[in-house]
Amino acid sequence: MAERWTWGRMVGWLAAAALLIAVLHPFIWLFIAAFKPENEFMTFPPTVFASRYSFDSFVKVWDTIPLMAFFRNTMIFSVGVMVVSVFLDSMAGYAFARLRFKGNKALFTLILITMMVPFQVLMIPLFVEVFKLGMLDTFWGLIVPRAASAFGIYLMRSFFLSLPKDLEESGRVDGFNEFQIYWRIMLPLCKSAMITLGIFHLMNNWNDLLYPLMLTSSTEMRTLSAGLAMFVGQRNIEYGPTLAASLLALLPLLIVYVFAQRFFVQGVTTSGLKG
Amino acid sequence: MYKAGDFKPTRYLIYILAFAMIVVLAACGGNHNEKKESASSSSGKKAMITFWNTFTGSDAETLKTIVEDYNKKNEGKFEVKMDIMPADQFNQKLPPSIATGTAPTLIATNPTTAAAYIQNGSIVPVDDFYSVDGVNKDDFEPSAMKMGESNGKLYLLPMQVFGIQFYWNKDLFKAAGLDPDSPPADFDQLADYAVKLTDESKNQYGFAMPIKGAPQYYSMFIWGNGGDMVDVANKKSVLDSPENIETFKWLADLAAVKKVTPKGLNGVETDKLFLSGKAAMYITGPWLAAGLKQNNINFGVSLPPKGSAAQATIADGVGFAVPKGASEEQKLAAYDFVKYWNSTEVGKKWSLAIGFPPYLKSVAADSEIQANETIKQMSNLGEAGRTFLPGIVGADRINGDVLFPLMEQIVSGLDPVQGVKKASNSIDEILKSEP
Amino acid sequence: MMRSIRHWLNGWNRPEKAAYLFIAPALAVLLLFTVVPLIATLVISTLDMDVFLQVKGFIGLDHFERLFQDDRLIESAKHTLYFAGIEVPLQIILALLTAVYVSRNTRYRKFLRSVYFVPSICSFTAIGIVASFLLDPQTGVYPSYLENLGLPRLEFFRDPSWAMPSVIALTAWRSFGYSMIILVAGIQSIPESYYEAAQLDGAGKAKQFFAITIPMLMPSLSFCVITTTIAAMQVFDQIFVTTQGGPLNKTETIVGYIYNTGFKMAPYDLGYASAISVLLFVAIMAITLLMNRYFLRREADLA
Repeated sequence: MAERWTWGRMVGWLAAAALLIAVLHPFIWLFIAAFKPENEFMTFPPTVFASRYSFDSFVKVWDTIPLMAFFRNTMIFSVGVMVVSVFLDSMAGYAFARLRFKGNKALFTLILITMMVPFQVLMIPLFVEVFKLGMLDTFWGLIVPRAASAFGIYLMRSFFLSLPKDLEESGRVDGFNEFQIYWRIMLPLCKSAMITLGIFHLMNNWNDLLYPLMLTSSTEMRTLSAGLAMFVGQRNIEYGPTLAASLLALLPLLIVYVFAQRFFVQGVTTSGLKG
Repeated sequence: MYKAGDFKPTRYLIYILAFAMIVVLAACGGNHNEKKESASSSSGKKAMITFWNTFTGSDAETLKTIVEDYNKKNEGKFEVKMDIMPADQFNQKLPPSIATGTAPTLIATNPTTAAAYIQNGSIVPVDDFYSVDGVNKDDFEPSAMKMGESNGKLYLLPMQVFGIQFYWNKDLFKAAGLDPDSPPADFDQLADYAVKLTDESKNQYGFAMPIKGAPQYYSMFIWGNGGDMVDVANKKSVLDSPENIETFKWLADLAAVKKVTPKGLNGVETDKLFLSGKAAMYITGPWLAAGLKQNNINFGVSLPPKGSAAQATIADGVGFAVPKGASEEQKLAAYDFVKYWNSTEVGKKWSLAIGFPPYLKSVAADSEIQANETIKQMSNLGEAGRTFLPGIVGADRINGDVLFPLMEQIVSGLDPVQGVKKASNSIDEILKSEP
Repeated sequence: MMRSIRHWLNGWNRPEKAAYLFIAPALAVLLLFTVVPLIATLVISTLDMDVFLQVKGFIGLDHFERLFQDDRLIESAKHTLYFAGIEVPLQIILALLTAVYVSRNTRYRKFLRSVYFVPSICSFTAIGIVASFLLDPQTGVYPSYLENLGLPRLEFFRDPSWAMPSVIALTAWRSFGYSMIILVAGIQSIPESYYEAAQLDGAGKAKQFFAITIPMLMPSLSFCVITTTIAAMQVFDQIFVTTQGGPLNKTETIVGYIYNTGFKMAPYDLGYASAISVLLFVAIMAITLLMNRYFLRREADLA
């Protein structure tokens, strides 16, 4: 309140507000459109609002795909990957950032390299490999290949790099071993970073279409995004159900996000670090 | 600095981790049990028929009820497990599945796509289906059986058979002062009508021409004027023949000069345009009819207009195929479902629900089918029906990578003569890898 | 059991040794499920092989020779560079500006921070579907908004020269929040005392931004730039749902072309698709390693 209104501040405020509208508008539209009757998508000139609203599209989605089973599968897959991967990534990221060892640079480069291959390219060999390991169409087969990610290691490394330098020393003075230093000193400091990475992993895997589709071979194992893809078929496209399914695939993530964003917006630094 | 209280976040993380691991383990364990169960039962009494297809959208509902009925009737004997996915994913998943022996027992595909699978032995001949007990070979239209034939063997069993149709919007015809009950008789009349029916101020178009993701409708103009795309016997492009160049010039004039179509629409978008009453004439498959009735569009359907040489349309369909690697027992189980599909009762149900013409004589003779004008109209292709590039492995690629892009260039006003020459070379390039 | 593990760990309780233990599990996963398939891809690129895994012969470097005469590949490479060249700076600058703006912990700015991130949690499939509706020239609301404002009614995804900018805008819209969150974390870990010292020296906001924020932000910033560049070079999903590479192939990217060649339809030329992937991989590697080297040097300079 005590802030003075300058031109610069005004421009910043307006730009931020404009961006806010640009970000939110499509979502508001989606929320309205998912309740629109099917024949009102083709009106000209186009309208945002409908003459009446109904749950028809959602009922249709419910009738077409086994929503609960897909939801459960998506949950197990993406939460499984998230938990294991955040753990493994943070360990590796920590080592790359804060421990001196032979081959640090070379190994880190190797890890970076794994990020540079588009998935389409690895798809067929990976499929054959998972098949040979007998993990095709199982949750293990979905989770294990994603149990560590270059992106996560890189992110955690960047984070650990930004922590003050002498943290380990105080741990060593206290007689902690290397793992204890990581577990008791470092991890508590990077709770927010881990939650951030966790959300990244959760949403990436939640939204992934091709990967879970390739590594499963039965409808019982399909995920929500594959269910969504079933509405985007080539013929007889139904607009209402497509949008309703998009909304349903989105909603769980949005809910998780609403709860987790507390940690998100808190920022990464904890009070113990500053001052 | 590090008091006991500071460690709390870590403890939370451990709890979350432990909980999540339990969930994951429980789920994985559960899944293994399911697996075992299905394995033991398949060797025992019940035979599983895994069935992959691409019937997304509203067709899927009817298909599902048919499968459910079948499973109920054959409880303890056969069970169809269906996996529906969009065509792109189907095409990506199926080949490596066949290579690793994890393919389904039954797939549904169209003859054009099947050509590649037939050529490399990925789907097996199914001639013996017609000698299965209870299959009445005489009930099938010969053309439906022939759809699945390649090198003297049968690879596809009929699931649905159809021709590409000409649709027109009767209300728009009336409004433009045209006879709503007579579609254009030939290409010239089509062009004439298209101009009369176009009104850009109302966002209304005379003749909608999609540029991808649609049936190969351009071929009926080529065939109609006596040309062809590929010399199938010699695996050579004949696209740049003089009559074809004339045809493409005519199409270019219609699309780019007379502007009777919006630019750059794909098949689904064009369907939408016609469904919303913004296009007066359109060539596509029978699947559009159900939507038109739902949207209360007053429409007519017929064979496409005649060209200077002939009246032609595309005869297409979807067939059941059995991928390599299926055991004899699985194959017979799959046959049982195909037999059920090709019974009069199911054929009629599918035909009425989806609006597809019947290919079983007993279904065609049914009074309810007879009473349905649209289905009746679509059933008879006469001499006009032709197959798109029969037996060419690269047919989908020639369509998707060369001919539709050519249509796109033409619709957006690029020179047709140049385009046709280049396209012809590209076709020859693709045909090089033909076996 | 815990005791014996602990005992065994003690032998490794030196930073230079423990590091390998920290890295081993993640490395094993990456080696097994990324590096092994990658090597397989390298091998496949020298074979005449289709998706049915049928090998018709070893052809050495023939595919790589073909690469350089393939006009369509060259076109798609240009489109990929066009996309990356505009999308990456756009996304990073937008993210940086918003990150600076929202990094202070007032209630409104926290709210902005959480909302700006929302598009990033959505899949490109869902976003692509929504965008196709909103931007449809006939039935979309955005073209009609433009018209109401007296501007030309753009055809967005259907206009050959507007399709790529539309895809770029869509991507930046969806992903800037992603980079922003990482940058906010970075900004907040800059000790407040640095700014206080600068203020005492009489440095203005702009000076502080370039003299303190940017250098201190280098680890996060380099992370964002590199990961965004890698993602941009592999762009596929959003194009697949919105334009499918059209109109007139103007949005066909390298991965799109790989998909078309190897996986979309017969003849499924997996060998050639793998060769294109190897080329793309080498290109991304070169760009990334150059960037990484630059950033590492900057980090070292600042340390």
